[in-house]
Amino acid sequence: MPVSRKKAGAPSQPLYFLANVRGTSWFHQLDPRTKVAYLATLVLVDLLFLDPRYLFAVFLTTVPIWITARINLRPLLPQITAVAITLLSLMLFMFSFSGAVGTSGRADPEQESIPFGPLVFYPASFDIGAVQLLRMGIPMLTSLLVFATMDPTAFARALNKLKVPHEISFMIVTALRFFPLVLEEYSNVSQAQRMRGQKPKGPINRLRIFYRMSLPLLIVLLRKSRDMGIAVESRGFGARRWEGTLRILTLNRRDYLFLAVVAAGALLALYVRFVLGLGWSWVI
Amino acid sequence: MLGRAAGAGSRPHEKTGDPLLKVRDLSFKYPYEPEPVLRGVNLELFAGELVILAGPSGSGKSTLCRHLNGVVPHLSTGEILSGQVLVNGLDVAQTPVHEMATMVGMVHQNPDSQLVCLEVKDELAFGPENIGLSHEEIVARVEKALDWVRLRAAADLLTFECSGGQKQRLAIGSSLSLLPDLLVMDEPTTDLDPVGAHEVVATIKELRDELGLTFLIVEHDLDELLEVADRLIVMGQGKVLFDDSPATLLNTHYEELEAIGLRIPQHIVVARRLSAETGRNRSFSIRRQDAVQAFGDWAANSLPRITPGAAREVGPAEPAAAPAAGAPALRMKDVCFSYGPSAWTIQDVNLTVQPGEFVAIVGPNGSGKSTLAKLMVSLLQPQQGTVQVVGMDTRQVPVEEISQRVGYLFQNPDSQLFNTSVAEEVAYGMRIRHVSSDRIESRVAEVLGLLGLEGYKERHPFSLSRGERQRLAMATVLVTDPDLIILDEPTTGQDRKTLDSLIGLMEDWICRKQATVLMIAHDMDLVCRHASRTIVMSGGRIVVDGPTADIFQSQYAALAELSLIPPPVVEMSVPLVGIRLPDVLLSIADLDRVLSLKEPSGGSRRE
Repeated sequence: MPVSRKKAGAPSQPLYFLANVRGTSWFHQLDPRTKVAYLATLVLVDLLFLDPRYLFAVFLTTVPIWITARINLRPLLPQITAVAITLLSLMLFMFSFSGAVGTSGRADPEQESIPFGPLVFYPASFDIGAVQLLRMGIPMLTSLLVFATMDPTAFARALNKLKVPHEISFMIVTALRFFPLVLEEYSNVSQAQRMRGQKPKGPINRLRIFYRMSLPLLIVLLRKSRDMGIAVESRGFGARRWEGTLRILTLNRRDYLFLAVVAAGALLALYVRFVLGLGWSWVI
Repeated sequence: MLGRAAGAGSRPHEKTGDPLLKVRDLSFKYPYEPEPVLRGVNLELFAGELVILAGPSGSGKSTLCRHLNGVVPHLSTGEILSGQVLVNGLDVAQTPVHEMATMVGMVHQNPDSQLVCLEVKDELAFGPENIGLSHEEIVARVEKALDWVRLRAAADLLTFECSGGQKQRLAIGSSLSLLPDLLVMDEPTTDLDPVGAHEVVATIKELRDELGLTFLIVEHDLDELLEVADRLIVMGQGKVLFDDSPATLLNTHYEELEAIGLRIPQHIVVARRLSAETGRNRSFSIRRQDAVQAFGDWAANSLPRITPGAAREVGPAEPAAAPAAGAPALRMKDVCFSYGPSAWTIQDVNLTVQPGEFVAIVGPNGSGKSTLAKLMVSLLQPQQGTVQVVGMDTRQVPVEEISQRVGYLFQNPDSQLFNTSVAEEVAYGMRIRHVSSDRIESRVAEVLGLLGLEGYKERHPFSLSRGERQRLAMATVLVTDPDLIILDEPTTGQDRKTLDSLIGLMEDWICRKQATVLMIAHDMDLVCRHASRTIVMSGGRIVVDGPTADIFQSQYAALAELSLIPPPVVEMSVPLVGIRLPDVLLSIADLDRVLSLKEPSGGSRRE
């Protein structure tokens, strides 16, 4: 059978996970501090509004960045799926929440409701669900964008520059470095268990399998983390002197321009919220 | 700026002045062990020496290494019963580990567990940044380290993108960027494929010649290192048993070294056999080239020329003839598989394996060997093509069902153990298939006996040694009486004795059950000694497939191109095939036969 659509030699799973780190777009080239500042600003702006229309407008401002950063979405699909499942679950939970709870603490028996099997949805709660979806979704998706386009080591340096203690930033770096290894080991242990005849069928059985997997997984990961700890100490980590660095972070014109746009956006949001008094009340 | 000058080293290394490293009467005990793991170790290392530390598993080599940079006692529990370690006159037990880092570099077995950063340059800068150097000094050290470990071309890669050999060279480089006087390496090639192992050994040789760096290397595979080492130190039961130049030691204590389980390189075995054969009772050289030359000379003098008609014709490699009639144990047709959207990991694989075959799958890391094995048992599904294993289509039959007839021994035995006792662990596979208790009990006893684990029934699996856990994992595979067994890198972390018994068991299994064994391996000696058929993979494709003897003879160049270096007896015998030998020699047993008969035998070659 002729095969032509792919070349041989696929990347490993960790590499696939990091597929977007090496991009060349303007967003990739921003200083990590600029990205951290953007993310922090977006979270604050997110908290300014309760009206889903305004929050949706905030969300729309992130779309051009996703597009122009030329993100390869496929490697991020597992993470995007996880975010989507979390948000949709939250939204469904909020939909089934009585709209009256927010004011009186009790469900209004007169309000309109839509029964759906064992669940009851309240149209009055749809906006609450939409607000929570957007309030959590915007920072989660933007975090994904920021971390997918940033080397964790560069991120740690940015945190150091922002006066975060080196021990903490290093902890973040090693956690990010360790994450693909955890995934790999999880996959190894899970496959080994399946070859022992374990059937991952039904929630109870899955829980039982997860329990059985936990011991070998824990032991393998503890060994790896012990080895990494020894390797780190063997390279002078305990000296804790950190003065010079290999790469010197510098903000360039692109960073200043982007920060100016972010600052202008934040000011506009503050103006809309506090001067015009818009965006704080529910639509209904 | 940088203290280490190129060309600082010169050979031979004289033991002059004060030793760089001095271990005096060191005894050490782990809190959970009844006996000390080190018992009165005495050792000295002089600047510029390359010393190999060898010995069987559990002899205390790794524990000794951890004392040299202060990991023990500063970061590890245990009690120093007596003695001390001095590096440059400093007592290691009284010096913080970060200070020791600038004197003693440490490289461990698994490169993935010691790389911290995502980018190669950042990894090299990690140590210098920790000790508070200036930006300029860090840059200079990173640039130097890139050259020292020959990673200039990989300087802009992510560490995940590096090959195994590159990763281990990076680990060496990241220690070197702290400009240590001594580099301690604990089995630096064990987790690497032949290509990576060769790269690391070449780097060690270059560093020693160009920088005059001092090395202490713990290593089981002595093939390449032994002839450049100044000294060989052999440990056993926590003590230094031998300490001398490798040539002297092997010439004077060969039997003792063999008896304690030291893996003596095959070319040295050959050199010694030839030395005994010529009856001159002289010392033999430990250089591989000398052994090859000696065999050629001996063959020219002692073996008669083969008449042209007597030579077995060796054509291009073909798949081995089916050893058993009937349905194949495995059939893969036009199989393609990919983890991601951009590239095939497995491409166009067509493969048929008959019952009773012992097949080795070899190839560099990343060539797709483990992925192919997982496709065979339905742990992965092909995007194109079909896989039939022991008559089951992997698209239609779930893994759990396939696992009843196919056993899979994973590289790391710990992945497949999860019960609270050895007996429970072995019984598990039968219990979930609702086999009767009586049958389970008798079968568990039988399998534990087969693997020499009958005395460990009530022990917790994770309280066993690595070799014992590997045998236990094998017991969990054998208990279901599989028709096909897949071994994924059974050599990792195993000493020669354990490995030989494991493979011997597989050969018995094939004989008794007409079962099939597929083994992924890097150890070419193991492949030559045991596999009836060898499959070579590269870039996700099967590039060579045929009887092992034919492959090592007719595809010698192709294997060398993939850095799959055949064992010395193969290298020695290939030029003589058709002239002095009817067939390529694959093992020492083959060589012995030739030596004893002094004429080539045309029949079966192996024991």
